[in-house]
Amino acid sequence: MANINPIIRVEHVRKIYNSGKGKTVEVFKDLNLETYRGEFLAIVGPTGCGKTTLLNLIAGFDKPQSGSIYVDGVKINSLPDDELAKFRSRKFGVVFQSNNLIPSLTVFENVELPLALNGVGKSVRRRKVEEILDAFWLKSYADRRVSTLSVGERRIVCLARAMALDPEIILMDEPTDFLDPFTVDLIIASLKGKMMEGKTIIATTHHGRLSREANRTIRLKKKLP
Amino acid sequence: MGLVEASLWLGIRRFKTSWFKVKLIMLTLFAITVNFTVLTGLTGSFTFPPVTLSLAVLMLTAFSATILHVIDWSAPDIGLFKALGGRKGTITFAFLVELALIGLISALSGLAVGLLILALLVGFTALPQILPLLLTVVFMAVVIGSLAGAIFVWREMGRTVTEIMSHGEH
Repeated sequence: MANINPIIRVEHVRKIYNSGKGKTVEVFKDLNLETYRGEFLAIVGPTGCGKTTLLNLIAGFDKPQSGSIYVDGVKINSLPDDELAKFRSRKFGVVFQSNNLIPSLTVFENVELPLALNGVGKSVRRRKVEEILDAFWLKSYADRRVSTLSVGERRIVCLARAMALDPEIILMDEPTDFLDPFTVDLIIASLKGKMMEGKTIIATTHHGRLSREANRTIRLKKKLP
Repeated sequence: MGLVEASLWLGIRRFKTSWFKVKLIMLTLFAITVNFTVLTGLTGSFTFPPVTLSLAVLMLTAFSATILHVIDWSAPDIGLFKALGGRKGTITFAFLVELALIGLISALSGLAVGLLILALLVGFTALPQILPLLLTVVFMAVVIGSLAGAIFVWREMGRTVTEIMSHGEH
């Protein structure tokens, strides 16, 4: 472990979802978790156990009913919206389970999106995107629309977009699902590179290969109804 | 300044790239405007103001309701922009730019075609009398439609990313 201070601290988090018709589902009752700087944490468990919910809570995409989530000492679940957005873009790069790329934009524009949204100037933006596309072997794809890419290629674009603002923490939701061994190797190689740079990686996965690369694995259990 | 540029970048790109869906909306807005222009001209609006008023209300309502469809299909995108660090003002302004572009282009082209049809039916002499009224209502429709959309985006941006994204899952 590169540092003994946790970069992420989840304390006594309770999360309930409204499942409709007045019924609720309690995903977490009293969740506690610490992640350290430079660590690669894999979260495993059956479908529906709350892996994506946990990532959403850590990224500030969702709010817990009670408890606290600290990222680099900042309690993110009480930050106002715009401050949270600013903080999130500085700290987190997120690879979504369904990629959430904009199919009608080109590869270049999709990677450019987080930079543009955060007010990065045009010339700096162009240079950064070119660097990132180069690092992810995507240079020849720059002008292609995302809708014309394969599943694996889209995942690499999503990973490249997550790195656009050079975040300290990379959150990945099932990053290697449905991918061919070559693309999985490519993703693992780039994650290893990021670990060497001291980045923290948290990934939910069903993929044994990916969890074997992690420094630590936590297993979430599914609550029976 | 960077965030204003970000809004323009996003608004114009969305307008250009979601072209197929945008075309359908613009075609509807165009048809609404043509109908309003021709009907207002043919009913001799100045002699019977209640008809003009009814047509104007119909135009404003239909125009706003149609343009709001852009926001409805864009809910997951709003969530994504927020997830990627977009601020409330930036995203709202981006959608305002997109909606204003959609509204202006379809309304002005609808107005032009409507006036042409009207000129063929009743002659050019009636047009100068009716033009200020038509321009006012069409301009109001664009402003009200775009602002209604922007208010919706502003409200959406106050929710969590997961709440906004799940809005699109009908």
